[in-house]
Formats: sequence, C-alpha cells, structure tokens
Amino acid sequence: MLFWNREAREARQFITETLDDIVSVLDECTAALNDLRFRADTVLRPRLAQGDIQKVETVIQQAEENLNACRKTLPLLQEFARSGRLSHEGFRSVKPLLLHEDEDSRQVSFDTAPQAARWLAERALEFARYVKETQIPWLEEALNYVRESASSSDELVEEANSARQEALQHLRELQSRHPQLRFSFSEELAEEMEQLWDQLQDALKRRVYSEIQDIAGRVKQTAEAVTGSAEEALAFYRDPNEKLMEGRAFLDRLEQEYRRAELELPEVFFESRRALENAAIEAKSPEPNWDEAMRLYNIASGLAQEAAALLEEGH
Amino acid sequence: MGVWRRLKAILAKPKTPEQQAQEQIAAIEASIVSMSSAAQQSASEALRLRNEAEEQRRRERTWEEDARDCIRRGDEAAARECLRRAESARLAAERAEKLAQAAEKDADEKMRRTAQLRAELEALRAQTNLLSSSGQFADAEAAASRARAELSTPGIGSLDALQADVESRQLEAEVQSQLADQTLGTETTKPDESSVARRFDALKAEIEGKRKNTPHSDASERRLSERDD
Repeated sequence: MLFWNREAREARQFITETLDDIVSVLDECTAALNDLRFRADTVLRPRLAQGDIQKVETVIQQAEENLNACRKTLPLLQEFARSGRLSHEGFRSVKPLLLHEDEDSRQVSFDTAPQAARWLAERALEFARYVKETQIPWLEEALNYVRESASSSDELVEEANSARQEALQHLRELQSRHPQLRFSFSEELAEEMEQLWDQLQDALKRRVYSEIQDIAGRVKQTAEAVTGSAEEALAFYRDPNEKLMEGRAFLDRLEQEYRRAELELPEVFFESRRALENAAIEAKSPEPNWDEAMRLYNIASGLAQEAAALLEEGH
Repeated sequence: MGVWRRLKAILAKPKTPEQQAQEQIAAIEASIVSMSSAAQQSASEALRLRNEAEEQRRRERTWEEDARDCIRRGDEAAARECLRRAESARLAAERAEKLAQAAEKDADEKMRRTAQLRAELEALRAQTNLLSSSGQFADAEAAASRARAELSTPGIGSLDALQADVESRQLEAEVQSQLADQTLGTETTKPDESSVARRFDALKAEIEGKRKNTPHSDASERRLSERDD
C-alpha cells in the first residue's frame, strides 16, 4: 500500500510537470501546422505538382492525427494529476493512438494506473515532439524547396524564352536581308528549339521543376546555336576561302592537340574534316548550291566543336 | 503570538552579539543564494527569448519569400496575406528581442548584486572577526544590521531599485502575455496594414525592376574561326 502511494504520488508529480511541456509543444505545433496548411493549400498550391500535393497532404494529416492523439490524452492526464484516478475507458480509447508503428497493443499492459498514466504522458510528449522536431521541419523544408525550385525555374524559363525570341527574330532578319539564301541548318535547329519549347510547356503544366530547368537550359543553348550557326553560315557565304582556311587550321591544331595528349582522334573529328572538304567542293563548284555548302559548313563546325569538347573531357 | 511562543521567548536567553552576527551572515548568505539563482533564471530566460526571436525572424523570412513568389505569379491577395504574417512575425521577433534585452539586463544586474553581496559579506566577516577579538562588537553589530537592511529586499534595498524591479516585472509580464498570444497563432497579432501595404509595394517594385533588368542572353557565336583564337 505504501509502495502504491509512493508510486501514485511520483506519477502525479511527473504528470503535473509533463503536462506543461505537452501543452506548450501542442500549442506551438498547432500554430505551425496552421501556417503550413495555409502555405500548402493557398500560397504554394499553384507551385505544387500532383505528387507533391499528395505527399504534403499525407504528412500534414499524419501530424494532425498525432496532435489529436496528444490532445485526447490531456483530460485523462489532467484528471490523474488532480485526483490520481485514470479512466479505464479513456485509456483504452487513447492507447491505440499512441502505439509505435511496430508495437503490439497486447504487449503494452500495465499493472497499476500510475504506470499507465505515466506511459500516456511519456507517449503524448514523444508524439508531440515528433511532430515538432520531425514532421513540421520536413513540411517546411519540402515547401521551401518547391518554392525555391519553382522560383529559379521561373527565371530560367524567362531567360530561355527571351533567348528563343531573340534567336527567332535574328533568323527572320537574316532571312529577310538575304532572301536568296536558306539557312537550313539554323532553321532545323529553330524547329528543334520549338519542339523543346513545347516540351517545356508540358513540363510547366506538370510542375516538374527538375525537368523544366533541364529543358529550359537546352532551349537556351539551342537558341544560341540557332543564332551562331546562321551568322557562321553567312560569314562562310561572304568569304568561303577565308572560312575554309580557318576551319582547316583549327582542325589541324586540334589534331596536334590530340597527338600531344596521346589520345586517339574521335570519329567526329574525321566527319568534321569530311564535311568541311565537301563544303569546299560545293562552294568551289561552277554553280554552287549555297544552301548545301552552308549546311555542310555548319555541320563541320558543329562536329569540330564536339571533337574539341571530347578533347577537353580527355577522350 | 501564542502563549507557548511567548513563554518560550521569555524563557529564552538573550542572544550574544556573536550569535546575532552569525544570524546576519546566514541571512546574507541566503540572499546570495537566492540572488544568484534568480540571475541564472534571468539568463536562461534571455536565452530562450533570443531563440524565440530567431525563430520569429526565420518565420518572417519564410513568409516574405512566399510573398515574393506570390507577387511573381500575380497572386496579390495571397502575397498580402503572407506579408501580414511576415509583419506579425517581425513584431513578435522585435518584442522577443526587447524582452531578451530586458532579461539580459536583469541577469547582469542580479549578477552585479550577487557580487556586491559577496563582497559585503566578506567585509562583514572580516570585520566581525576583527572586532570580536578587540571587543568592539557593538560597532560590528550596527554595520551588520545596516548590511542586512540593504540586502534583505529583493533589490539592493533602495526604493528606486525596488520600483525599477516592479516596473521591469510589469513590462516582462506584459510582453510575456503578448508573446503567449503570439504562439497561439499569428492571427492574434494585428499587423499594421500600412506597413504591409508599403512592403507589398516595395517587393512588387523590386520584382518588376528585376524583370526589366534581366540581361538578354548573349548568343555565343561558335564559329570555327573564333575557336582558332
């Protein structure tokens, strides 16, 4: 009897002290979850992909369930702290809510009410702290990550669109200034760029930011290639001998660099040289097909660039 | 006073000056313990408030970033709501910072008083030892009484210090109550609508300015001839 009294007294003391902690953590978590719910449902909703919405919703619900379980223990604990009595029915209804995932309910049993009440208080505090220290930080981090990804994607998409518009405009201007010429290589690149732009729109609808950023980068690169290749083709048309000489000199030096690095020349190098020589043949023919000659020159240039990149990478 | 107590008091022998001095020293020692403990409490409260302020600043930044994102997407209503919450967090952070400063000041003051008490206690002990051997105990007793009178109040003993303590506690209670409201949700703190509107306009201008200044991509010209350089 004496032992029971001491056990009950100690349990009541422990619960009285723990109750303040539980209530404080509960209040804090309730406010934080309200904020997170507002951010997920209103502020960042247009930024979240379907999968993100489901994940965030699941974690918010789990956190709310954990907090509700803690809230349900409060009156039981308050009553125990006040009178030393624990409602059997109340304990039975709350116990399953406070079990760990891998815990068997049958193995969680107590000989005395103070033991059961102590377990309730410990579990309620543990669950509330889990929400505070694990679930809320996860939600905050996830929402911040989505916002930052979306925000940087916006900037990349704006830059890609701006580069795309400029490239198309530049190509149109060159075409109108030189109606006798066709910039077929650049036009093909422009088509490829437009296809990428369509893919980008699709990725934007799905809000998959890694994909958006990847495609936006490729749109920007292709836009640069459209402008660069059109200018390059025009320069070749204006002075084919000079450009052929420069191209050959570049390939010769590239070959020397490969030899110095004791690397085998890649196939793209030979393809580039062949394309360059074919461009020379076409340009020097009595009636040159400038469309074809410029296209071959662009191809040679592109392949030489690939070969130079391979050398840089050490292949 | 009960009969037995009175009887006990009558029957009790009068205290010797040494006993009285020892009692006074014990009282000062007790004051030192309680003052030192109060200083520690204030210091830990200051730390808690600094953490609270930091947390509120973090919330302010989050809401402001959210507002920025809403403005970029053209959702002005959501942006204003985010800024309202950012403003509430800012106010809460400022309050927590002020309170932390007050708690730090209080802790410093209590530490100072503890040190002062220790010094006076040492002086009193030394004087007591000296005078008890030279027979001038009456003077020592008077000095001890003065010291005790000064040290037995929560403050140093002066009314000003006591009043300052009362005011500081009132301020503390007021801010604590405001902070308690704050933790229950940002809705309880009404931010100043005009400052929310100003912040909204500033953010909008900043974002629009940034858009206008976005550099156009320089199409890098990749020509065989240029690679030669």
